[in-house]
Amino acid sequence: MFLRTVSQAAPRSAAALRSGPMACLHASKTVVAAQQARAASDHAIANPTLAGIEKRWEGMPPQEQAELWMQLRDRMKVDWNQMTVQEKKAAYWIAFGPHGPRAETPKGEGWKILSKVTQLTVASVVIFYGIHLMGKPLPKTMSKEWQEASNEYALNEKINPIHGVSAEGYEGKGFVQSPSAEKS
Amino acid sequence: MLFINLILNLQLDAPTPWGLYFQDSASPQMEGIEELHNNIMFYLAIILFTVSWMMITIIRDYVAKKSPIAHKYMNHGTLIELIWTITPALILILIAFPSFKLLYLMDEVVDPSLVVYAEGHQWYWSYQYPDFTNADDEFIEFDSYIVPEEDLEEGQFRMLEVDNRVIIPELTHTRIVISSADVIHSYACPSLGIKADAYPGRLNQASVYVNRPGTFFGQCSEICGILHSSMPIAIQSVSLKDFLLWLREQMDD
Repeated sequence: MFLRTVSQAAPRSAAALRSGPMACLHASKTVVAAQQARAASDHAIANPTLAGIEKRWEGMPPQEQAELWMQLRDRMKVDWNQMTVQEKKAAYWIAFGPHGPRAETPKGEGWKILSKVTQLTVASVVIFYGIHLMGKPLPKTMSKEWQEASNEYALNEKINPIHGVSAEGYEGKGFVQSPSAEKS
Repeated sequence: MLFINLILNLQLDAPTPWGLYFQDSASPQMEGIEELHNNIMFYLAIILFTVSWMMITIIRDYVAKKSPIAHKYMNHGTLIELIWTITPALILILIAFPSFKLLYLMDEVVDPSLVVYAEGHQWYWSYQYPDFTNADDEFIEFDSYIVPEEDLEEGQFRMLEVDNRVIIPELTHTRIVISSADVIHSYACPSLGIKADAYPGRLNQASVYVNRPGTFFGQCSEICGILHSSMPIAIQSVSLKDFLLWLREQMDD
C-alpha cells in the first residue's frame, strides 16, 4: 500500500520540478484541483505514511502535505467506521492540530515580551526625566502661597460659584496643588 | 456625578488643577452642552458594559484549550448580523436627534441687545463695541494682550490674564462677531459654551447670554503660530449698571 502511495505521488511531483517556492505552491494547487475530482477511496492509507505525522508534518514539503491531505479526504468520503484509528487521528490533527497558525507559542515567550516591554518603559521614563532635568525651573505661580492667593482672587472675581472656590460651603483645596515655595 | 464633582472639584469656570470635567456653566448654551454630554454618557455606559461583557465572555469561554475547534462553527449568522448592524444605527439616531436640536438652538442668534466684535491677531485679541461711540465719533475699541509672568500680581492666573478684559452685562443677549486680521484663530470660552473659528476676511458669530456675574477664561483654540498659547481670552460679566458705568469710562477716555 505504501508503494502505491509513492507511485501515485511520483507523477504528480513531476509538475513541481520547476524550482522556487512559488513553483511548488503552483504545483500543489494543480494537485489539489486534480484531487478534488477524485472518488472515495476504499483502501486504508498505510500505517508508515501516517506514523508520527505530528512530528513530520512541519518538515514535509507542501507537495507531500497536499497529497496526504487529499488521500485522507478521499478516505473521509467513505463510512468513517471503515477508517483506521490512525487515519482518524491524522485527519483530525492535520485539520485542527497545533501547527501553522495554530502552533503553540514557544516556551517563555510571555516573559520575553514582558521583559522587553519593561525595558522600553524604563528607558522612556529615564529619557523623560532626563529631559525634564534640563528644563527651566517651575514658574513662580507653582507655589502654595501663590495658589492660596489665587483662591482669594477667585473669590473676589466670583469664579467657580457652583462647584468651586466661590461656592457656598466649599471645603476643597481650590487652586492649591504645589508645595510651599520655602520647602521646594 | 454631582458627588464625584464635589469630591474631585472638577466642575469649574476657570481651569483648576487636575480638572477633568466641564467648567461651571454660565450660559444656557453650556447647560445644553452639558446635558447632551450626560445623555451621551448614558449610552456610552451601556455600550461599554455590553461590549466588555461580550469580549470577556468570548475570551473566557472560547479559549483554545477549552473549545479547540470553536472556529469550525464560526461561519455565518444572519440574525446576529442584523442585530449588530441595526442596534448601533438606532443608538446613533438616539444620539443624533438631541445633538442636532442643540446645534440649531445654539446657531440661533436671539435678537441681541449688544454686539461685541472680536478680532484675532498674531498674537492678541482686539475688541470693538460698534453700538457705542465716544465724543469723537469713534468706536470703543481696545486690544487685549496677555499679562506676562513677571507682571502678574500674586494670585493671578498665569497664561490666562489679559490687560483689558471684555466686559459684558449679565442677563443680556449679546452677539459676539468674530473675525481675524491674519491667520485662522478660534474664539473659545468653555464656561459660556462658545467656540467659533475666526477667519480672515469673514465674519463668524456666537450668541451669548451670561446668566451670572463672574470672570470667564478661554484661550485661542486654533493653532495660529508660535505664540498661539499666549493669546488668552478673559470675559467679565457684570451687572447692567456696572456695565453702563464702564461704558461711560471708556467713552470718556
